[in-house]
Amino acid sequence: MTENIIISKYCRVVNNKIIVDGEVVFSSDSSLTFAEFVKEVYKNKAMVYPKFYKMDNLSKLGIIAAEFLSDEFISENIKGDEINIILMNSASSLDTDKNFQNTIKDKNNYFPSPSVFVYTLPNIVIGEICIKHKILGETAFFVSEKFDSEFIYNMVSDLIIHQGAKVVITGWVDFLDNEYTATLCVVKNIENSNNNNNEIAKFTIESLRRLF
Amino acid sequence: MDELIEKLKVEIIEALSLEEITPADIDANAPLFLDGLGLDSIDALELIVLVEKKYGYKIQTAEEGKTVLYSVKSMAEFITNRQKS
Repeated sequence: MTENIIISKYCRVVNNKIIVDGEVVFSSDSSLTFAEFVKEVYKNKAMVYPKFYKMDNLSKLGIIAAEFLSDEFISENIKGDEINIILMNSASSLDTDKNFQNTIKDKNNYFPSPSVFVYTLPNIVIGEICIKHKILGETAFFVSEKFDSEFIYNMVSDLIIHQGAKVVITGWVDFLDNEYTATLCVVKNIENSNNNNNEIAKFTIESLRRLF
Repeated sequence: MDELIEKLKVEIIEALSLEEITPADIDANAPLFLDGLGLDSIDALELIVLVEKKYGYKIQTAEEGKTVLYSVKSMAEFITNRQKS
């Protein structure tokens, strides 16, 4: 039943580069910090979303990666509740957890930051992507040492075959101490769609392993 | 008071990561939480922390918060009044 499920597009964000379907579509000087890099991406993409600047690094990373895939899941034929998001990483929200700890570690300068605290869970990145793109389907975030292709394959397949998802955005979004990697892909059920689908690969465990 | 208002504008922009806003864009008399800056409830909490951290004054109740955080001018008045007392 998975022969109609494809990976239609992927986006990788690494070393201040954005790679879509294997092609570098944006790059900045590698000496830029992540904050400087994403600000350039934001301007280059002409994003009008001031809330972006309030997000933690993990959410910015996920939002940027999803932005380059959005033409694959924003469609009048796909409802918000037919889009699911399943993400994974190894550092969880540790980068932001450490930032928050910095606001409370000194007894004499104890001012817990509410705006940092709200990002001290890794699944907030999913929430931010959902809010921006009006996605209403099932979501889950898993923490694992490495990308688990088999687990993701089984989960995404189930969502599409048994739960009615038309699209699943899945992948790896990891950020810690200015080191980051994001690889997101759009997995689609093309059973009842026309033949004009962009297709990177059939959705298999092997294709996920190659991608991640 | 004018000096404090201008200082507060800079501090608010920094504390709330309002990257695309300059101090000149903020009307000191305009409500902070309606259309103007598009602030939300987390921003309100962050402003409460700002007032306490930078000026040492606690906003004690939700009602007081509504009055104090109405505008940049009302924040400045709260701080000035506390400094006088």
